[in-house]
Amino acid sequence: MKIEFTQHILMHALIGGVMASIICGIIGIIVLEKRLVMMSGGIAHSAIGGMGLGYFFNFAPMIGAVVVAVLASLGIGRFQRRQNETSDVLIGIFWAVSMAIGVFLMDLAGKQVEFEEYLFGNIFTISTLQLWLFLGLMLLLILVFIGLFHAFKAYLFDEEYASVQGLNVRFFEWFLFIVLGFTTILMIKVVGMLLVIALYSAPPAIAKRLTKVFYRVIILTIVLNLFFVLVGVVISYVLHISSGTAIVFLTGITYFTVMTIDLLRTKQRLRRDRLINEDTQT
Amino acid sequence: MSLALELKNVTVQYQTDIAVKNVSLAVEEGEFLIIMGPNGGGKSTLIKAVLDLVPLTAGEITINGQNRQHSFGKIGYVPQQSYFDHKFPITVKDVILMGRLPAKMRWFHRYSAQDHEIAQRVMADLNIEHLAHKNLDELSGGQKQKVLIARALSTHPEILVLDEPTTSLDPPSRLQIYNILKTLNEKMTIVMISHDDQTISQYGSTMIYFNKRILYKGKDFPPQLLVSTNI
Repeated sequence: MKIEFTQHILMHALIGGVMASIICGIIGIIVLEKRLVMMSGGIAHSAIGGMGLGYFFNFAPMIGAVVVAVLASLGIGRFQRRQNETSDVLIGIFWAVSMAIGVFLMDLAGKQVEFEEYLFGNIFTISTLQLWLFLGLMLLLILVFIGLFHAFKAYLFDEEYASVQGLNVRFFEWFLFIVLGFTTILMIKVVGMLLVIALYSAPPAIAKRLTKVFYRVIILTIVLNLFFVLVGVVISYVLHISSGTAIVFLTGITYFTVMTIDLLRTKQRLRRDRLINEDTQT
Repeated sequence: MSLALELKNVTVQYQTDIAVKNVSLAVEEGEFLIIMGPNGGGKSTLIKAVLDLVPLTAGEITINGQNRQHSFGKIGYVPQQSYFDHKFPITVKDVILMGRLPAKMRWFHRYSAQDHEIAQRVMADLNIEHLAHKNLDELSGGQKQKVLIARALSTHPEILVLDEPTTSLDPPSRLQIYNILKTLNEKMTIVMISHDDQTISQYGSTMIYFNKRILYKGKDFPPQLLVSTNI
């Protein structure tokens, strides 16, 4: 898709990028701690089923995508709890069946859909309505996360104990699944459905390696997201590549660099400890 | 002496599998009950039923005469260490303060000065004050276990329920934990799952051998059970 970059489009991309970074910062730590990275991928791809419904029944495909993503998120969570089925099996089934239904319905509707923008994202096509949705979601997340900070932390750390304490664990679970479905679809505009899981998992994983205080992990994740999204947007603008590709390249390179430095440091520390031990023994 | 915990004809079924079958049990105040049994025999499900973490298929559980669903704060729970992420970015004091969270979620809740004081006191009681600002992943297995006991104690429970608290601990740490529990037993009822048969005669007042139902209840562990079940 060829885009004529106006000040208006750049401003939308910038504001959308900032809000997406804050949203992903909060959602990312939840996804990481609750091990929902693969589930996010499943939700993102199940959106194709919803889009197929939109094309077939002639309503906005993104509305179908949001509805199906939220239902997939709740469905996977509920089946997992009730049937005690392993989550990767469920995610795989939701992922594949939803995509198949979507493509089938698009074929029936006779639509030739340009998948590239959905797969890799294009932050320069964010509409005003989407910006309002970003704002609403961001404010809701900030309110719930700060308002219920200690309870949320207890839920993320030890769900079983939180339940014994009498906390409404179900509330967090429902809230999490609905918000995860909604956020994942909104993020498709920024990084695309193929790459959304990278933005959920890498920044909090980097932050966890750099600090060990919970609230600092979240703040650092947001800062990292801001860096990846904004620098990614600039790279995307300069090199004329999709925003998702640029953002995820940057995220991946940073993650592997931090991981390598961390591993080297650990090795160095272990070697030093061994030498000290040997010295003491002799 | 009144009953701290009572189970009447309790059955817990997961789809087609019966994990706990028609169990009746009365635990008196001040008892130190040790639950032993084979892996997969439903011991953890039994205590999860007491903690209201799994629904009952049949039967009733009362804690000090009250339905288990109205007993928040009366039970302190020490889960198995494998149940949570050891790399979670959290300090020892924050873990212990979790025990002070109110059952009803309050928006913008802050821990009170009293909550901090209680956390400080239980840390002092268990001799882990110096670890307060350490991260959980910096601690040894024994230290982590003390932190989990401290979290359970900060709720001021009447019954302390522990799920294999000494698994993967070295003998000195194990002994330390048992001595702590023995002291605590002077003030509260203790229910503990354990695979360590040596604990029974020294620490427990009663033991049950459990495999979906109670196969044995008594003061001592009969040697023939030890041989026949290969614990």
